[in-house]
Amino acid sequence: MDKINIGIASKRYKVKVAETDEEKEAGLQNITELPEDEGMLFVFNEPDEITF
Amino acid sequence: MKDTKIPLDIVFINEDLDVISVHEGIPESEEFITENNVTFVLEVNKNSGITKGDELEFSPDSQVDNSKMIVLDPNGNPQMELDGGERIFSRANTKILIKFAKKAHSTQSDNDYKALGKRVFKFLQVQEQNEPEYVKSKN
Repeated sequence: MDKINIGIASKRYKVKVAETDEEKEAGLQNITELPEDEGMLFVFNEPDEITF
Repeated sequence: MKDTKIPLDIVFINEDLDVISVHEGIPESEEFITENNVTFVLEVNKNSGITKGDELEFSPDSQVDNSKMIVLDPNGNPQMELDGGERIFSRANTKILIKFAKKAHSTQSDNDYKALGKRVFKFLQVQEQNEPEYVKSKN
C-alpha cells in the first residue's frame, strides 16, 4: 500500500492509502498500536454514502 | 468498529477536502457510522483534534506518485503523467512523422505506410542510443 503525507488540523500524518476493496476491508483491523503521526486514508472514487 | 483494537477518530471528508464529521471509533463496537457524500475517510488515533470544517491537505511531496513518470516543463512544473511505454518525439521529428502519416493516409499505399513505419523505428533507434539525462524536480 502506498504511504502519503497529509496535513489536517495543523498536524501532519503519514497515512497508508486504502484504495482497493481488500485494503479497505482490512483497514486498521487488528492493529494494536498506531503511531501518533500515522493513520489510514480510505479513498473512494465517487462521493458516496459510506458506512464505517 | 468490529475487529478494531484501538480507539480511533474516524474522519469523514468530502470531495472538496473538507471534514464533514469526526466520529469516535470504539474498539470492538458493533455500531456503524454512516455519512453521505464521502470521498475520503481518515482514521487516526483518537483525540486527534480534527473537527468539522478542517481541510485535508496533500503534501506536495506526496502528490508525486513515484511509480509514475511525469513530464516537467522548464520550470519543473508537471505537464503530464506517463503511464509507461510512451515515446516523446521532438517537434521537428513529429513534423516529419506527420508528413509521412498524411501521405500514407492519402495514398493508402503499402509503401508509404512502410516508409512511415521505417521512419518511426529510425527515430526510436536514435532515442535508444541517447544517454539518459536527468534534471532536478522543483520539489
